[in-house]
Amino acid sequence: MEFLLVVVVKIVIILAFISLGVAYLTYLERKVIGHMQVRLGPMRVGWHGLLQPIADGLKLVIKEDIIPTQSDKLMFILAPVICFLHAFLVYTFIPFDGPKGFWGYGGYISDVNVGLLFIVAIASVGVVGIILGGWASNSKYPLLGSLRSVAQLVSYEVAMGLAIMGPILLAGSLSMVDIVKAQEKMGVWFFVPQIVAFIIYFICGVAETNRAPFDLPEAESELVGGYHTEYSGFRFALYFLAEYANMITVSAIAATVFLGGWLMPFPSILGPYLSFIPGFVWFALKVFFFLFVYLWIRATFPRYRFDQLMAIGWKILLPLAIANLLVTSFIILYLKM
Amino acid sequence: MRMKELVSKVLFVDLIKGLSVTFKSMVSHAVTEQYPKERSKIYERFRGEPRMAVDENGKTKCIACNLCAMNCPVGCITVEAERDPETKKRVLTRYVFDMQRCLFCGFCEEICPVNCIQLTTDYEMSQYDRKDFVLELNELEKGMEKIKYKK
Repeated sequence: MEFLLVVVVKIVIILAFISLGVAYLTYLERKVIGHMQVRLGPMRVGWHGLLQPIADGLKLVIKEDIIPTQSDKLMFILAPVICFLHAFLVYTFIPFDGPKGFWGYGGYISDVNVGLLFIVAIASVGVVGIILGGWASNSKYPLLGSLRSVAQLVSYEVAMGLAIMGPILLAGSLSMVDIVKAQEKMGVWFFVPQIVAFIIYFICGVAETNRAPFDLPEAESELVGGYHTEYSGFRFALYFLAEYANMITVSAIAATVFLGGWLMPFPSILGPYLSFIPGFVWFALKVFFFLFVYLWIRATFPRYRFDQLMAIGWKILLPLAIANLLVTSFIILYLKM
Repeated sequence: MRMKELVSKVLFVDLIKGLSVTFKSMVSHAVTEQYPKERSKIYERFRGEPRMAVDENGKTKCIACNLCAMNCPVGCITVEAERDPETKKRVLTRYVFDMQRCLFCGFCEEICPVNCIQLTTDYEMSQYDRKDFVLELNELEKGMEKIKYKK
């Protein structure tokens, strides 16, 4: 009974925290990109525009819900829910803190021994939501956007999956908690021995979440809004939340697998002074760093052409990921012998 | 040369250069102006909303010479006058200024022999209705009725 209560409380806390995080990620995006363009971003709603995401959310919720007459109604309604559900389901397996974290209750909802595999699998089910949404709208831009999106996601998932194989080999486990523990035991975070995999993972992560410079599926200048062109109001909000939740997911996986999750940097030097800081703060800082880099990249680089996108994915990242995997496994084999 | 290019591509040299540019601009001060809160400096010779001056008795200074109307490039001024049979002087009966057409060139102000019509430094002249832009003499004397921005 107590176990159930703990899990429910954890789910509620994490769900609330992620929803709020997603809302404030949009605020962060507008602020960071605003400052990078030498302007201020939202300033009017609340102190320095801090209530802006709440106002935006409220606006989306009370907007009229439009379902196009020519659309496939059931699929049209179902698609954003699929997208949203799978974007949030992933957080079940992400360790926000160590097993002793969250004041002894364990800093994660569940630690599955195939955690990373599960996350990658669930994240790719989200693609179904995108293509269903694009198809069910029965309109040309959403269809084109969803086709592009799916082509992009499928081709980058391969390289991404191969890139995270490197750290998995080093850790010898698919469990997220074990991967972090392996980094603690090794004394160095996996982004040092797996720098190639780290870069590949990050580029693929940007492409996976349809962010600039790989934001072809929702290229405003070409496709209006991509797969969610026909969506408005609350259904659009679901897609929007899913997209930003995916950003946080990719950052969280990167922080866990490559940057040591809840671990403290330089524990031998900083350990005595900063040990009072709980692990989830370090984790949040790492995730924040990745999110900032996301926004930074968006403010800096123009969009790729579609053939360039495919060329990068299949001709550069995939061979590199395979080479990295081979080299890593040979080195591990050599060290074991 | 090709080797050099390859190395710079692998090390993301150009991309890092671009990122540093955006980062530098992020830590610099914003150049935008938070309009209703702060306003840029308006200089004395700024040509804004027109006003008609009155003399010490509160009567219009306008002598109905019609020079402003004749000089106006867009013809936004209409002057109506009639001759006073006693003094044999032209007396203003109606003065209409159409703000929708005015291009704020200031020719009317320049030509006015008695400095009656003047362009002020006010520039917030938005209205909800088109007919509110057509100003009569009394409106020109006390200034347009303005819609105040409320937060």
